[in-house]
Amino acid sequence: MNLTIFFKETYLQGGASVSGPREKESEVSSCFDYSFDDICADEKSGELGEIKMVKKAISILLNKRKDLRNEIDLCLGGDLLNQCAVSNHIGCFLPVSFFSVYGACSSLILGMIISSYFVSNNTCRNVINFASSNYISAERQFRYPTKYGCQKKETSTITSTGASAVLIGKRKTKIKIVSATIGKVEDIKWDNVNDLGSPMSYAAYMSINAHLKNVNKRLEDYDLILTGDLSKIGSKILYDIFLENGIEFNNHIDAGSLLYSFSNEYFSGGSGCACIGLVTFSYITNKLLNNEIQNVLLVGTGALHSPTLINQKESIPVVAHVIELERVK
Amino acid sequence: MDKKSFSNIAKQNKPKENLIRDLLFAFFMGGLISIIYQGISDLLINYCLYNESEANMLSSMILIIIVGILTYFNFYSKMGQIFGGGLFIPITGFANSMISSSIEGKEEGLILGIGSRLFNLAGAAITYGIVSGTLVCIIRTIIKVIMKG
Repeated sequence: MNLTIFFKETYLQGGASVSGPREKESEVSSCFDYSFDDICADEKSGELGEIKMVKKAISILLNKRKDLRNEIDLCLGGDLLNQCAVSNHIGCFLPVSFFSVYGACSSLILGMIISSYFVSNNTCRNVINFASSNYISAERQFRYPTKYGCQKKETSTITSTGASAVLIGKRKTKIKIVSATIGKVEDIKWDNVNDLGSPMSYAAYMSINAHLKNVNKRLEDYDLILTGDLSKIGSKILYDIFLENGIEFNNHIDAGSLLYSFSNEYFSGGSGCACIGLVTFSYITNKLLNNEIQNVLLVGTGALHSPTLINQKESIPVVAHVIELERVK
Repeated sequence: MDKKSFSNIAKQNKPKENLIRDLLFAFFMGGLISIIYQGISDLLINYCLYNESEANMLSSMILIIIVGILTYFNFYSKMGQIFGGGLFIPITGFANSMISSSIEGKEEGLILGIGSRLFNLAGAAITYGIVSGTLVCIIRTIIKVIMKG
């Protein structure tokens, strides 16, 4: 049984997305708030670059909503590194309470759900939530050195570089956060580290289904369903699963595939916390504000991959969290 | 949706690997590296008047330096994507694994960064190189003793 939360009077106050150089070439890049030309943001290492990107995203966000600057009660963030290193370093610079969340690539959506819950039951007035990933730092931790000349499979994804921050609060805006479903961790005995999109599509299917059931809606009721980083192959599998159940799944976009659709050099698409954030707080929020779509289902998918446990011949569990945004009429 | 029907769908969507193309590319690249190596070695013997063992050592060193430069400028990883095992099996692959991991460690300093990361990927090759060398030596010694006796 999945838990679905209905939020009361919770609105998206604003969002900011900061990308790296590769994402700058994507078709949605015109919507980004800022793009760095260097993958390490002119810092010495990928980790320091990631910290700089998150700082940039938060400062853009706070500049957009200057009126709410003094009404922020809590901040939470997530990233892919061990000990949530980047997020916790950002915590040092913030004058408010802070904790980090980890849900692999679903960290942003997980953070948004927690933030919305705090706002919905009046514990906090406004909450900042951010998530980030960086190609250099993530590849180094989960895969091989970036300059290592091994052959990557067609199914493998590339970690996206970027950071996104979002402000959630009580004040009425055009975009309302309606409800969310917290995913159940699924273990399908998957151990192929070169293909993480496929197992995540299973988690995405289970969570979307649970959400639809709990809010009593159909898939066609949504104008758009945005998944995080299922990759081209995972998206195809998700489409096939819905088709097997007699549903045409045409209102779907995968953020990772969209970001890297301009080139075949990036294999099966993008992965990482940054994917869904970069696309949501630029492309999707613009579409909502311009009245092109009325509601959207954000599905943050995460492969809870531990290199240590994989070496001990264990499998990769997967999870997907769902949050529903709606344009206020 | 049960897990079994999911794995069926996942299997259907698995992209096919182009094994023949990969094998051919790797075969010819491996051969090309060997030709380059032999060329350098012959040049050293004929024009620089080194003897054979010196020339062999020097040509490996020259190859390693070339790989180092290619790795640093991100060229080797791009070639590795195309040629796979052809670049991975010869001495160039070993050099690349050491250089790439040490470049990543350079921010952590000389000892914990470059020093300890240098053998991150190459460590296994060295360990089992030593182990198999020792085993072969033991077997050889035993055979020698038996033959004499």
